[in-house]
Amino acid sequence: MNDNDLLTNETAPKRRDELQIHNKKLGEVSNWLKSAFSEDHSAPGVLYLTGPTGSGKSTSVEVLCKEKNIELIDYTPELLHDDFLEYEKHDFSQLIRFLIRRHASLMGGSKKQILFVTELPDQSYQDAERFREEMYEALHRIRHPVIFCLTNDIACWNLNPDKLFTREFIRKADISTITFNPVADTFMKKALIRASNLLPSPLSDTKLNIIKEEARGDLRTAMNMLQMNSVGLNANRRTGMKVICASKANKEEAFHMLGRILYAKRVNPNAPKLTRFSQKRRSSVPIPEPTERTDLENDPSDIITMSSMSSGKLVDFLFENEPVFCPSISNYRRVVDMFSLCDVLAGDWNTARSFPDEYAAQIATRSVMWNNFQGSRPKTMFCIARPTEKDLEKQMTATRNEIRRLPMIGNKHFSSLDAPYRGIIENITDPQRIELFLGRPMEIGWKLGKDRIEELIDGRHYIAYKGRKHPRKARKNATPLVVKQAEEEDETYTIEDSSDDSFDEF
Amino acid sequence: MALWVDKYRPKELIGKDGVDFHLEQANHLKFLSGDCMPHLLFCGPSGAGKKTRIKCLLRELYGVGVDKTQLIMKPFTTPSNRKLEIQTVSSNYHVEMTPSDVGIYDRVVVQDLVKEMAQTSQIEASSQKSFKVVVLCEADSLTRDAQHGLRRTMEKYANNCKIILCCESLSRIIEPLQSRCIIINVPAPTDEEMTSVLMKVIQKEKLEMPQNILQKIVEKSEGNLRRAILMTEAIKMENENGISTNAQIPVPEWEIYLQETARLILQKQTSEVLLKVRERLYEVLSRLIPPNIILKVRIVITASLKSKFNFQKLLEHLLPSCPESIVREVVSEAACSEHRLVMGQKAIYHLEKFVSSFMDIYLTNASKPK
Repeated sequence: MNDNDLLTNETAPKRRDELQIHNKKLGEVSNWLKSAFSEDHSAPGVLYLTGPTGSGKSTSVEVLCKEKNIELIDYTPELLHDDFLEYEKHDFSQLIRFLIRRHASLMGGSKKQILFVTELPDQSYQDAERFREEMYEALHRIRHPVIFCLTNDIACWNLNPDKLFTREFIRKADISTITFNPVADTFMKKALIRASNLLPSPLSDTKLNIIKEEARGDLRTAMNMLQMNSVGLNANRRTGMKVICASKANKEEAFHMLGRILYAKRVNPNAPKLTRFSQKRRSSVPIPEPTERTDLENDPSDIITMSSMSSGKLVDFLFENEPVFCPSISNYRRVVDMFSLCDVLAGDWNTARSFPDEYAAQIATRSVMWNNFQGSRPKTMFCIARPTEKDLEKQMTATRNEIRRLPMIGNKHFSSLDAPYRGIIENITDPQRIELFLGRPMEIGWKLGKDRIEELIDGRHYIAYKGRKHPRKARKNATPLVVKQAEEEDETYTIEDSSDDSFDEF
Repeated sequence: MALWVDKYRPKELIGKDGVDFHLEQANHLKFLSGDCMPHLLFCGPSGAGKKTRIKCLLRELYGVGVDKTQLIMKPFTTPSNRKLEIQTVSSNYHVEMTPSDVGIYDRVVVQDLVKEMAQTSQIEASSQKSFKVVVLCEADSLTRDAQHGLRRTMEKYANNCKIILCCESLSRIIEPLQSRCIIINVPAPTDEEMTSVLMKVIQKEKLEMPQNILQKIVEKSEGNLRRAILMTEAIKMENENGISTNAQIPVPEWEIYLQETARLILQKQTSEVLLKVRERLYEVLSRLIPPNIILKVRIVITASLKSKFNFQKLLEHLLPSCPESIVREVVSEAACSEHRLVMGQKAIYHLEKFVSSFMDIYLTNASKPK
C-alpha cells in the first residue's frame, strides 16, 4: 500500500458489491442511468443528486457508470487569462459551454457519455434567478445526460445548492432528483471493516465503533479518521479506546437553526442597518419600537431545510425547549396543541403518507415562531436541551419487555394496579423484582437508570408509599421464589411447565 | 397462597360457583355455548370481569379440561426473517395470547399462529365440540393491519376455530370485525354488587372489617372489582392485628403523586410550573402507567378540586354561570387530548397539551372581571 495516498481514494469501492449504500438508493441511480440512455428518450435527462458530504454520491455514480460502461466527463472550471493577464472570471458561460458542447469520447470504444458537474461557478450563488434562467435555456440544448452532484448540507444557506435548485425549477426544467442520506451505522461499520482489513494492521473493533460514532454518517471523514489512526511507524501505539477524531465543523449547525426558530427574531425597523424590508417601512410612518409583528428575519422554510433534521426530531427538540421562550400560557397552549397535532399526523398511517415529509415540521416551526413573538428570552446564553423523550422511551421499552416475560397473558393494568398492590400484599423486598421497580417511591427518579434504582431500593428493604404507617422489615426466612410460583398467574392456571426457570433469569 | 383475586374467581357461569353479577348475561352466554358458538367480542372497563366470563364460558364449553393449561413460548418468523416468540397459554381446547405484545408484528401472529391453530381440528370431535377457541387479549391494541388480517382468518376458519376477542374500548376495533362478532358488553359492577362480592370474600377469609372501611374501598375502587379485592387484601396485610375503623386504605403511590401534581397546576400557572409538571409526568410514565389513565385520573382529580374551589367562589361572588362554562371547556379539551393520545405516539405531547390548556382556561377564568 502506498503510504502517500489518502485512504479515501485508496480504498474507494471499485465494484457494486463493495458500495456500502442502501440498495434502494443504488437502484434509483442505476434506473436513472438506464433510462437516460434508453431509446425512446427524446431529450437527454438531467439528474440533481444531493446528500450530505461523504454519503457516497459521486462514488456510487462512478462505480455504476463503470459497471455499465458509461464514460463520465467531469466539469472542471478552467482558469484562463485575458489579454491583460487577468483571470477570466469563472462564470456561467463556461459551464453553459461545457453543457451544450458535443463531447468526443476519450476512451474510444464507449459511446455513452455523461456530463458530471460537481461544482458550480460562484456567480450562480450570487444571482440565483439568473442561474435558473440560463440553466433552463441551456438544459434544452444539451446533447448528453447531465448529473449535478452537489453537497447540500452546507452550513451557509447562500452556498447551498438547494437554494438554486428550487422545487419549482426542478419541476419546470424536468430534472430528476435523488437524495442520499447520511450513511447508516451498519453500512458505515461494514465499510470500515472492509477498509481496515486492507490495512497492514487492522484496527480493533472498539476503535472502529468509535470512529463510526464520530463520523456521523460521513464516510469520507470516517476513512480519514481511519487513516489518521493507522499510519505511522507504530500504528497500534494507541491502545484501547484512544482514537484521534476529526470533528466536523458544522456539527452544531442544527442547533443554530433551533435557536433561530425559538428566538424567532423579527426585523426591527429601527435597526441602523438597512435591509430590504426596513426600507419599505421607512417610506411609510417610522415605528419607534417593533410593537407589532414585523417580518421574520429568517424564513421558516429555509430554516427547516438547513436544519436537515427529520420532522419528528425537530419537533422533539422544540417541545423540549419551548417553555423557556414562550411569552404566556395561552401562547404555549396553542404551540403544544400544534405539537400534539404533528404527532398525530406523523403517527397515523392514514395521514402520514399523504402529507409531504416536512409538513409536521412546517406546522410546528411556524407555530413556534408566531407565538414566540415578544416572548421571554433567557438572559444568558441558553443551552438547548436534548429531548428527554428518547431516553424515557428506551427505558420504558426495556421495562415493558421485562413485564412481558412474566408468565401471564394480557394484563394491561399490571403496572398501574397489580404491581403496587402485589408489592404490599406479598411484601416483596427483592430489588430485582419488576413489581418493586414499578412501585418504587416517586423520589427515585427514572433518570438514575435501572441499576442505580435497584441499588437504592435495595437499601430500603420495603416499599414506602404515602399513608403506610408501619413499614415492615423484610422477613428473613421468607422464601419468595417458592411462594410466587403460582401466584404470579393472572388466572388460576395450573402450570405444568414450571415457571421457576423464568424467574431465575431476572 | 394465591392472590384473593384469583382464589375467589368464579368458575362457572351459573350455579354455586357462578358469577356474582350480570346474571342475565351469564344465562345468555350459557345459551350461546350450548349450540354453535359464534365469534365473540367482550368489551368493558378493567376489572368488570371480562376474563372471568371468558374462562367460565370455556369451562362451559369443554368442561374441566380447559383448566389444564400450559405456558408455551410459540416461535414465529416475520416476513423479514426475524425470529420472534410470543407467550401463549393453551389447553387441549383453546389458546390464549396477547398479539399486541409483539408490536407491529401482531399481524403475523394473528395470521400464522391462528391459522395454524385453526387448521388442526379437534381431537375426539364426536365427544367434544367440533371447534377450538382462540382468545386474543387486548384486542384494542392490535394494529389496523392485524385487525384486517383477522377479518379474513375469521371467515375462512369459522367452522373449526372460534375467536374470542377481549378489549376495553370498542372504538379501536374496526367495524368489519365488530360486525363479525357478537358483542358481549360487560359493564362495571354497581356499588351494591361490589359490596356483596367483597362481603363474600371477607366471610370466606374470616376477616373482621368495619363497615365504613368496606364502604371506602367500594368508593375508591372506581367500579373496578379487581382493584377492590386487591385493596382488601392489601389492607389486611397492612393491619395484621385487626382493622380499625380509621385504617388507611392503601392507594398506589403514583395516584397520590398525580394528585400533588394536579394541586401544583392549580396553585400557579406559569411555564416554570409547566416544566416541573412535565418532569413529574415523565416520572409517572416511566413506571409504565398507561397515559390515558393518567389523563383520566387527572380529570377526576382536577374536576373534584375545581368544583370545591368553584363552590366557594360561587358562595362569594354568586356567579353560577362562570364555573359551568370552564368545566365544559376543560372536559372538551380533555376529550381532544385523549383522542390524540390514541392516535399519536408520544404521550407526553398530548398530556402536556391538556395541562397547558387547563392552565390557560383556568387563568382566563380567574382574571375575568367579577
